[in-house]
Amino acid sequence: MTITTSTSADGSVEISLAETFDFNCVEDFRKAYESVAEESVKAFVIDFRSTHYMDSSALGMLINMQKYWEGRCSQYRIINANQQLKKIFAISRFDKKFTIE
Amino acid sequence: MGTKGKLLISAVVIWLFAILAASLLDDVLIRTIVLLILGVVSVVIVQFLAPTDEQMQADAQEKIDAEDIRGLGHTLASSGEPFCQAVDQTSSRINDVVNDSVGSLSQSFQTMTENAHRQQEMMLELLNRISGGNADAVEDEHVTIGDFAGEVGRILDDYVKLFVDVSDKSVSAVHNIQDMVQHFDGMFLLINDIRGIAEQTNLLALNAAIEAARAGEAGRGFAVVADEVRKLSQSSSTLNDQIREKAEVAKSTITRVEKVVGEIASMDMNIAIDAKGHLDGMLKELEEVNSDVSRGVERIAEMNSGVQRDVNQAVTALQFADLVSQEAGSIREQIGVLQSLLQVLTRIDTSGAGAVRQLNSDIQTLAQASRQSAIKMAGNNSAAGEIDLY
Repeated sequence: MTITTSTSADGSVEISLAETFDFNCVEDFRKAYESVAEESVKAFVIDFRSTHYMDSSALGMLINMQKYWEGRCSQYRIINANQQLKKIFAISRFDKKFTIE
Repeated sequence: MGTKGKLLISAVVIWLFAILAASLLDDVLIRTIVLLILGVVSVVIVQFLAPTDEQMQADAQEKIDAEDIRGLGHTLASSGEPFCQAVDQTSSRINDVVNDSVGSLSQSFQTMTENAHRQQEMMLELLNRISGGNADAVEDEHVTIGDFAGEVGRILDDYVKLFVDVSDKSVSAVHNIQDMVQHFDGMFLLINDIRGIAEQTNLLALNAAIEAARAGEAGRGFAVVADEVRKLSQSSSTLNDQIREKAEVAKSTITRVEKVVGEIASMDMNIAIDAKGHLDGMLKELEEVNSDVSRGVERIAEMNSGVQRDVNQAVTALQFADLVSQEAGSIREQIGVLQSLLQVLTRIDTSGAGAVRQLNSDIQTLAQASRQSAIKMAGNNSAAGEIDLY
């Protein structure tokens, strides 16, 4: 149950999530996006490849990430989310705030 | 002796006169020829002038009395009369029954038409209510299923938005709480520092007390000060412990708050997804039911128009009642003719050939009347075949 962060050469930060993305991850996820050293980041890529469950706090965490980087980063992508998670993003209108791939 | 006999005698007398006249002629051949001719002429005259057998029978019938004929006529008329009356009554009853039935049928059809019309109006109103198709009904307070679906969809969206908002705020609150916990940890370090200072102060006070004792009488005042300083450091240490205790209570309270906020933030989104899925399914089904009902109502309204048309045609067809009345009238007319026919014999007031002539004339007149009546009936029948619609 770990969240890993990696920065690629093109200036995008990729955060890979664990099996579950819920309230227990609040601290780790916050650290993941706050610990990015760059003053300006081109894009945040959240990888849901391993994630099979998330609750409503996940949405709160993602919004808080956007608020934290507001004005310094404009591109947020959610990748590899399964069908169920995509449904949650659709219902909560997250497809307007994030690029769901 | 009949006419024939008289004629025969006349012929014989003529012939005898002829023979007498012939004897005056001297030529035997001519005499013979004249006699033969006269004989033949006499026979022919007798044959032609003699009455026939039929005439002889008529002569015999002349003896039948007009009284007897009228008696027979009364018997015939009285035996035929019940039949004629029965037919007359039956045709009259047919007329009444048909008129009554047609009256109640017309009433029923009228009620039916009115009901069908009302039903049609209700169906159209229902249709408008369901589909909201009537432009005039836009201002109406009636809620269509489409409105309902839209409203439910909006409510659900608001609900999800609220959900996300709560989650956002909760996570933000958790971040603040975590920051606060960090500050508490910093505070505990400071409290530890203060505790160290207090302990050092205590040690200093102890040293000062020892030095004051060594100075003897001159250091007595200083010993008092050193003792007070030691008491202060002890008080400071106690206070420091109390602050730490309170701070620890505050920290654990904050941690509990974090947990509660966490519970608020951690809602299972699958419930919302299922709810949304069910709702979408139900709304879709409702819309299908709605359109089915609309189609059904439209069909019923169409069928209703058909019923109205049929009822109108049926009402038109009820004109046959008039025709039946006319037919019944004709039957009664014919029965009248028949009755007159039966009465014919009773009116005989002459005897013999006169009676036959009277009878023949009466029958001819009545037959003429009967034919006219029959022609009238035939005309009615052809009219009954095709009823004009109005």
